[in-house]
Amino acid sequence: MFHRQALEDRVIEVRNDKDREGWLISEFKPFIAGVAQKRAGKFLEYGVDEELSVGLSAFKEAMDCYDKKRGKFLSFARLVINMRLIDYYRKHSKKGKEKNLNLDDDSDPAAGLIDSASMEQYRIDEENEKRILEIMEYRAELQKWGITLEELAEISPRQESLREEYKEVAREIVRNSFMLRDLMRSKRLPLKELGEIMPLHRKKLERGRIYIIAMVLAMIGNLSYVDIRRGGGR
Amino acid sequence: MKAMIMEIHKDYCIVMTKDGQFLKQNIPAGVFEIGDEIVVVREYSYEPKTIKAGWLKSLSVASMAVVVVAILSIFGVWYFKQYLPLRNAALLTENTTEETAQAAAEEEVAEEAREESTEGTGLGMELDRGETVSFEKTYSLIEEPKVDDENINGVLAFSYEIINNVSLQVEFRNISSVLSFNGTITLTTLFSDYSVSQTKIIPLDGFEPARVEKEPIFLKVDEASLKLEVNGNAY
Repeated sequence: MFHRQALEDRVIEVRNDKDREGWLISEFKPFIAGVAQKRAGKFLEYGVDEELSVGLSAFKEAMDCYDKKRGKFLSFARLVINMRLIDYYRKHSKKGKEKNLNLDDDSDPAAGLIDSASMEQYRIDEENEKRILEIMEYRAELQKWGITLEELAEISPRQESLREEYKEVAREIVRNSFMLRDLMRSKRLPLKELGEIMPLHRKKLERGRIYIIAMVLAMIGNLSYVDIRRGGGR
Repeated sequence: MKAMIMEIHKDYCIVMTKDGQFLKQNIPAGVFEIGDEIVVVREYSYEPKTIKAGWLKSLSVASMAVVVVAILSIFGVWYFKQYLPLRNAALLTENTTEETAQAAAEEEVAEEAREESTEGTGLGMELDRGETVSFEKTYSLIEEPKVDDENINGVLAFSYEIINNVSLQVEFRNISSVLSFNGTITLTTLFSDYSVSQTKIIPLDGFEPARVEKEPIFLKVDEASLKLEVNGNAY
């Protein structure tokens, strides 16, 4: 299930547990890659590009020195990653790789970490941070079910009416605690129960199984971006 | 339509729209971060370049398959070539059966004619009745692909001929006018290093004058010579 604990508490809690620390870092690998790629302005690949190693160690550094007084963890981590990447690019100072660098910032990166102005900067993006956290958790939850976002992009219904039907099925499952429990336990759609409640053919339900499960997980994980209301998003 | 960046790949991003649709968008890595909100434009939906690549892939797989089949066929033919005579064996055996029947008929006619012409004369006897017939010789199949009427003690004539490089047609004829032959013919084929390849024993009991015995021997690769041994009696 989704983490009910705040990320900030998790970061502090896992500090002395190497295994859990590793899991948390790997859960946020896409986030680290996203920040590093935006900084580099190109695609980066784990195990190939050194920038991602810098990003990973910066994320670890952020976990180690994070304090709740510094605001949201992801904003803080992003700041640390960006600083360490600037540091990295300065050392290597290769032309063309630094097109997005703000090298006018002459302040010491380490000193920047505790700079109150910087703290203020990441507070502004609090809403965005919340979304990133939701995505990371949603992605991790999907992985537990063996579902990838790539797969969802392939099978996601293009027809709005069909999408709405599947979302209605997901809503019905979330509303009915018995069906939800059954789904979570068996990882199978309660087709028999759904068939009694909803006028949808069994085959249709089976075809939309992955999408329905993804929508159920979005609803119970409070993925705020998706409008789960009936006819939402139109 | 607004959407949120969910996952970033090298050439595209996976986004989720507010109404729960997952889409691939033609946005390369390094432009946005996960969680950024963008406006989805239908024209920019990501179409993987797999159609052409797929054709090429299929074509290359098919070409590879053809090459593999061709190579296997060549090696297969090369490998099974030594067993090809076996296939011919059935054909030749059938022919031999027909030929034997024909020869038997001819022989009967010849016998009758001979009896009429030589009755009581005793002419043409090279050996006396009851004498041993013994003969041994090795022929190089490479140097002598064909041998005609090798005289064996005036009783038998031995011939052979290599047919299509795969079989050896061996023939014995009783050239005596009155003597029959009782004994065995041993034919041994030898490899080029003179090791024995195959041995064929042909019993000739009551092999009467003018009778003909034909035997096919199917050659194996590297068989280079033929050894003939004749042991028997003339009576």
